[in-house]
Amino acid sequence: MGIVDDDRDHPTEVDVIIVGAGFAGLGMAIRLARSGEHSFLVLERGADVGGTWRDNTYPGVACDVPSHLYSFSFLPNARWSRVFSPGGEIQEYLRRAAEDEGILPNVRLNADMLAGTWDAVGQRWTVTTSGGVYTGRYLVLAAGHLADEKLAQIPGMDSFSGELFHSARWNHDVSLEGKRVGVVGSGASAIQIVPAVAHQVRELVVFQRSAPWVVPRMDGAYTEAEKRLFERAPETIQDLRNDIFWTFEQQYAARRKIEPFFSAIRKFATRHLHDQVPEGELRRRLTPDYDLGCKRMLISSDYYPALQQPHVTLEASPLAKIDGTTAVSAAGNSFELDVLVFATGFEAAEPPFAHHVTGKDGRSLAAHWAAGMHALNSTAVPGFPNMFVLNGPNTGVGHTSTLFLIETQVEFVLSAMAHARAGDIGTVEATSVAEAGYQQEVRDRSAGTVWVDGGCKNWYVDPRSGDLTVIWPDFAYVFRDRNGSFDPDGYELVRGEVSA
Amino acid sequence: MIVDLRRPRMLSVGSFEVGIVDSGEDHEDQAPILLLPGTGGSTKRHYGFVHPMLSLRRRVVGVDFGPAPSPDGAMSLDDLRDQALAVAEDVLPGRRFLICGYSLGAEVAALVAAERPDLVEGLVLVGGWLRSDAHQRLRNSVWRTLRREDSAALRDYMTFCAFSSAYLAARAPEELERLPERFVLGDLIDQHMRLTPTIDLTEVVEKVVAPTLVVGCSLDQMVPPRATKQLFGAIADARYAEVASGHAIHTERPAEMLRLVEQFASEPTGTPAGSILRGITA
Ligand SMILES: Cc1cc2nc3c(=O)[nH]c(=O)nc-3n(C[C@H](O)[C@H](O)[C@H](O)COP(=O)(O)OP(=O)(O)OC[C@H]3O[C@@H](n4cnc5c(N)ncnc54)[C@H](O)[C@@H]3O)c2cc1C
Repeated sequence: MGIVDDDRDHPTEVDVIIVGAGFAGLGMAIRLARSGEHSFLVLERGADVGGTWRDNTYPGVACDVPSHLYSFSFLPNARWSRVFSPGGEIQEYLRRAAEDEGILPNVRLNADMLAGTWDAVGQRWTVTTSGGVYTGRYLVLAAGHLADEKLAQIPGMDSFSGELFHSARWNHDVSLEGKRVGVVGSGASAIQIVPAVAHQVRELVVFQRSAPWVVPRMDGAYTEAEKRLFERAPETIQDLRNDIFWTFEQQYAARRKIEPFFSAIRKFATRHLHDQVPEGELRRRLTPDYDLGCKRMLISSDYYPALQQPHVTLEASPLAKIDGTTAVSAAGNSFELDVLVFATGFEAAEPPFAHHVTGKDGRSLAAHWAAGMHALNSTAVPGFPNMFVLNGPNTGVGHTSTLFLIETQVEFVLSAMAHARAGDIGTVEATSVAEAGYQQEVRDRSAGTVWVDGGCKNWYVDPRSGDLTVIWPDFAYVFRDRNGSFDPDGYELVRGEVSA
Repeated sequence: MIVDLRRPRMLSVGSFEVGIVDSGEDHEDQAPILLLPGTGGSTKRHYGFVHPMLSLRRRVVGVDFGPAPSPDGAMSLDDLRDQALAVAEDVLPGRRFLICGYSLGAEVAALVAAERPDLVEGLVLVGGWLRSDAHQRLRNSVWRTLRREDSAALRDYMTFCAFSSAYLAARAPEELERLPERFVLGDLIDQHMRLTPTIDLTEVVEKVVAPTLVVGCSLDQMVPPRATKQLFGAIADARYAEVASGHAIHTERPAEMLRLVEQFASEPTGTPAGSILRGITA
């Protein structure tokens, strides 16, 4: 039975409002529904569920953590086509998950959160969206940290007479056939786009600010026999997940710069470069000048070969200005282009949604985070009672699946709600002291890691504070052991009427 | 920051030369950990991952058992115990410590804990066993025959025994080729292999009072979990965890091994005796 929305004067009332219908929001919704809680709504600004995987449809898009780990533990999928499944398949998985779990009636699409405000009297969150007004006891922000594209402002951008778009807003109406195409950036998206489009374009220029570390991509299609085994003996999926998980966990040692692991992975990546790119200028340009892991380590077996095609140019310099059809690099080289793709990443450190959320003292979450994101248990923020942030501060991982952390947070939120319900508690709020302690703990954990000490400028460190705010700088299992279930210590719990 | 591994050094214990690998920062309120490697092994080979990671947060001392001076020299579990205790006394005088043993090292650790309750604050036994049984002796005798005959199959046999089938099946060809080369054949392993079939801790472990974590490897063909679990039954204050790994847990699942050791070390009695610890479900 769905929730029927009222008109604007009478906001729809539910227990839990979730903002965002990506992996995090849908995961939260599914786990809520499975736990018997049906009074929730998922507010999504887009026209479909899926988040990242709805938005990123660029040629070559795929996950770079094996699909069997990069999916919900509670919704294994025996039918993944490949080790690294294409983005469309992941989007299909998410859409089907929402449908099969019966939560679509609770999803409001085209509902952009314009304001989320804590009402101290009513002890509720009111969320005003482009589609309607909603109130809930709890607000779960699952608005993503790679959801808002970063479109660097390049001088002369408006003068570009060709087609220009961001990789997460791919314009499929534009044919690249026979065109001169520029790709700005050499990160996780660019490295998938370049090999996927190289064969159809006339010329391809990649503007590289800094060379990425790349290791081989051990991809492969699952056979029908394997898929059927997964179906018939689902425990084999969990075994595989555990295996991938623990193997990946070992990579943390290298991120912590522990020898011999740190040198070993660097050697492995260097050998990949040397195997695929002969000695010379191109290899020199592709040799990173910072510690592996400081920026996301990429996986690809066809990026280096793609760059060596005669019509492909690696410009080892960022795009600096645009003049009509001419794109000029900072090094001063000009390229005539018909299409410019900005594979320039996302607003991760300063999430736009934070400007729209206001806590109990009338301050916005963005103001609270003026010196960088932080939250107790990476999830709860003082001054913002009954609010939880998923995939927010210190939840990103460079060495394993983000979903492992997201799922941990979902269970944390469920256990916090259960705790409140059991104790007739009206509001749950992180204390500033506990939150500061947690922030210090994260700082201590990050010391000596490649993210803060790796000789690169990355988007994991907030430039305003120098703190590592995006990444969880330890083993993923430590995140689960530390933040897997609600511990009232560090929280202010206020008794209150438990409605609904 | 790179961990400052204090320079490894040697200590003479009777006629044995023992290696010491001492690292990590010591905290007054935190018991240091003594690591005992398994058959023919060393801190580096059997704790290559666990040792440096553990020592990021606490004082860790690895004991590299030495061979008996003459190649035919017999070696007893008591000799190994003496070496472990001598290292502890040298590096951690007057301190109580946690002791973690792997494989043969687990047998030594259990013996130390049984005899020195005054020193041992907690005990971790990874891939250990209560007493060598028919299965253990059979494997041991095949090994010794191959060794005596200088068989070309010895290293493959060791590879076959040490790793789980799942692990072997998932290796790339180059990696598979290198696995058999990892084993160090020499006096140390020969002496250890003569010792292992004689081990029986049945009475010894009855005296263990320290909180204990027993870690079994569910895919272990050398020391099957059946044999490891007997320790869980035999030690009064024991809890049990199982890892989906062959005997070479240090290579197959080192991060999971680290989690278990570190978690136990931070609160040895955090779970009641008799508990079976749940692993991470990824
Ligand atoms: C191309 C690409 C590949 C990736 N591959 C991997 C991988 O292989 N492994 C991995 O671990 N991670 C990967 N990631 C990271 C990925 O973002 C996360 O794994 C995961 O998808 C994040 O889910 P989420 O729900 O937190 O955020 P999102 O998927 O970004 O979902 C957030 C949702 O919130 C909505 N939203 C935002 N603001 C508002 C608002 N104000 N009102 C209403 N709705 C709003 C957005 O529209 C979006 O639908 C990848 C990311 C990208 C971009």
